[in-house]
Amino acid sequence: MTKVAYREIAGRSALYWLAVILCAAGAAAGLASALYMRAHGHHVTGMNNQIVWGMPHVFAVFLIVAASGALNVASIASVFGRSLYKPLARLSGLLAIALLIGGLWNLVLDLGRPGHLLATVIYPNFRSIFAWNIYLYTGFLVIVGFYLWFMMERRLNPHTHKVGMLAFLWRLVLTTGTGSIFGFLAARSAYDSAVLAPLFILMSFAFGLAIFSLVLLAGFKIVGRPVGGRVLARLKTLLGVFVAAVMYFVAVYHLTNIYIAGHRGVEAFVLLKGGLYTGLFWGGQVLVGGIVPLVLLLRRYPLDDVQGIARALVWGALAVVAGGLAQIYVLIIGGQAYPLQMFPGMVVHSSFYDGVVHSYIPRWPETVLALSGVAVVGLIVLIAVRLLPFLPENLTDEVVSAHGARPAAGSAAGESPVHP
Amino acid sequence: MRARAGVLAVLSVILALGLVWAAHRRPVAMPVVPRAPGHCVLPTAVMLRTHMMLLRSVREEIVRHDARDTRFRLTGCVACHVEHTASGQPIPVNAPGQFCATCHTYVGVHLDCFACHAAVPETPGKFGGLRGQGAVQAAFRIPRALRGRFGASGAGGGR
Amino acid sequence: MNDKERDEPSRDGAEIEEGPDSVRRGLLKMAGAVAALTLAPGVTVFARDLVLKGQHKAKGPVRYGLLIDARACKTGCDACVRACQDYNGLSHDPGPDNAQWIRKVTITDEKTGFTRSFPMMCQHCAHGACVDVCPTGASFRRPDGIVLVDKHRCIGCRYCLMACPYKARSFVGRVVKDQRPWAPRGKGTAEGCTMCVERVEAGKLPACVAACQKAGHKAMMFGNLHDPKSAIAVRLSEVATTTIRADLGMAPGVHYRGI
Repeated sequence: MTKVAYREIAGRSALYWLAVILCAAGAAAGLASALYMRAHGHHVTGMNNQIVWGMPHVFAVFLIVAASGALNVASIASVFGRSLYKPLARLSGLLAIALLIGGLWNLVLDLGRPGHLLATVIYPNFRSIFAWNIYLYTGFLVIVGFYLWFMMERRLNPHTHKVGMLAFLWRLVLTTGTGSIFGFLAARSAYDSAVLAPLFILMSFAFGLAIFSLVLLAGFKIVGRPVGGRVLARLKTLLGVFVAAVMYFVAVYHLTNIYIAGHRGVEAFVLLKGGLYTGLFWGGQVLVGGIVPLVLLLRRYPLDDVQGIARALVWGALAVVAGGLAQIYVLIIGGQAYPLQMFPGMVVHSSFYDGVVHSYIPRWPETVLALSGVAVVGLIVLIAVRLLPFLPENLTDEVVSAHGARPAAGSAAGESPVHP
Repeated sequence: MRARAGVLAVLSVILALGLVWAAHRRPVAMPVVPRAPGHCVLPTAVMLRTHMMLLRSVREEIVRHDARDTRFRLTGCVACHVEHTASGQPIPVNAPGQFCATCHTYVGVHLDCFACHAAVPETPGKFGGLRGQGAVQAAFRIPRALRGRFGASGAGGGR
Repeated sequence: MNDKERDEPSRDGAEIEEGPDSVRRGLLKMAGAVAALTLAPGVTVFARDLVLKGQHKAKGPVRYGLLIDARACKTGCDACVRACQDYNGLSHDPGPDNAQWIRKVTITDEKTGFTRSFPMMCQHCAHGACVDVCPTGASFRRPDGIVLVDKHRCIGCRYCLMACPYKARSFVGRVVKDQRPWAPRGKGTAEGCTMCVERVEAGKLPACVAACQKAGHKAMMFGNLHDPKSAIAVRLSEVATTTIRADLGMAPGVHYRGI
């Protein structure tokens, strides 16, 4: 009988330890640069009173958005009952937690006074979407933690879908909250838009699935566990659909802004005259993050061409990640670089950089901190897959289809971890 | 297994050495806290134990609720407890050996107030203070009954 | 093999009897109820704040405000800016990461050649975005209308800098020494114009207004907007004034004439 068995990775190879050391060093470097920023103040970074949020926030938002999206695979399995995805659900939950912690790592360590973080709990201001997000993020960690427990503990398996449903609803609210951090900012022409909330949800679908696919393929390749074309083909098509949906919302966002005369200035800036931001928009977000993955991902391969499917998925997912970072960079940094419109139609001058396009040159402290969030994600995943059975032993077509077709009787055992 | 036992052994030795070292250290001498002239707003024993609570509860009132008549203001503490150099320059109260730093160093509690607050009283007449002399008292309306007590050193006499 | 059958592995016997669809429907209801219960208190508080506080906010007996006459403000004069920097212990150097609580802004209409120069600072809004977005309530509005940062609570997230339409907030990116006793400010916190709150409480004019009067320009006027007999309220009732970005509905406490 073929059933899905999960097993910890051995984690004895030099490659594994090299990866662990690299990630730990990255995290330590991030911590060091946060301490350096704390000792000297944020003037050692490229961020200032014009570009208020910088590199750490680009990566933080990317990771947080991707976190909720990484959970999708588990949601598709338990909420929408597609059991093809069920063997992948554990890794999906793990990645969701790891990515969120990585994103929060960036956000918290970049605060002016991280030591005072407790103030958000002692004096919460519920008019602030930030305050809401603190509860949404911590709640997400707790719920996905329970979700993983329900998936791994055999006796709790029958209730997995309930927790899965809660996690799915929670993640929708969470990404809405993340998008609203920007969507609620009426003051800035680039943000003031309700479309940002659904756009962020779609972005999370795409980024999360891209990262999930990359981790899955890398993990299986390095550990040497077999994977079939069927799972990969599904992931590939799904990612393509998500990318198309993101592009649709991006188009709606920009078309709306172009149509509203008052927002044409910022649109002209992003789409035509913004230099780096225009380049990143067309070259990064649209070409690399949209067109390239669509071409790669929506092309059909025969199911037995596992190599071809995997290659398309890897390059497509890499393009989605690169394009996604470009997209968030354009949104966060570009949105701040465009000056506040205090006196529409007037030319404004002041000693405080009013009316001029602001420049942002990231310096090493914040760049190291930004990248350290990714290292933290890697570290969590590397340690977790070694300690607990997250990765299925094998994802060949026979296992996947047998698992899907198996009758109800005796099914509870199918989810149980098999220890070597 | 052997590696783990080795690590454990090394850790135990380090711990034991640390304990021996800690036991043989001389007790740290009680700090000598500089005395301020006059009387404090509350008995010293009470202030010693409650000044942080007082400051914390009062800061809420002062900043958010427009209650500037309170006695337990940090500016009041600084005005009274500041020491001066021979040439009459005020020394920050959080400088080593000064009133706040002495105790906080001894008990090992981080002193956060002066990351934002001035650690010296206002220099009379400098930079358009409210009234020149006695600016701190005037600005913060220290109750009449207490005003005399702040005058001996620091920012000049009361109104 | 259909979807329902594929779903089975995660169900136990009791639930299978009900049929997967009804189970799913029940689940949806339950999850909805859970979500509603979780979110309801917060939403209620939010809605109450939005409606009630929004109404009461502007109606205290005191609301301090400014009236700036851009016609009387002299191009090139920065007495108000200097006075603010001196009084509050700010740097004179307008570097990109130095705080500017008040600044002189010059606007020019290139089509007509119309130009004006006037000071801008925190507009002390009745419904300020900075107050709404602050996760800890560090950014708050006093009952007398002055908007401040309570630095004891500020965590340095800079969301208020993102939200303010007037660029009135600054972030302290350096270690600060030599603060004025009445103007505490420190690294890692947001800050902005305090309307010289302790001077106002002592019955004096804000430093910028005093400096403007001393320079003889009389371009700035300070007072209680809610006292109909105050000079500023009388003037506001007589002449046409405006607020910057009135379209955002934040009801600033700083009014401008001649822009």
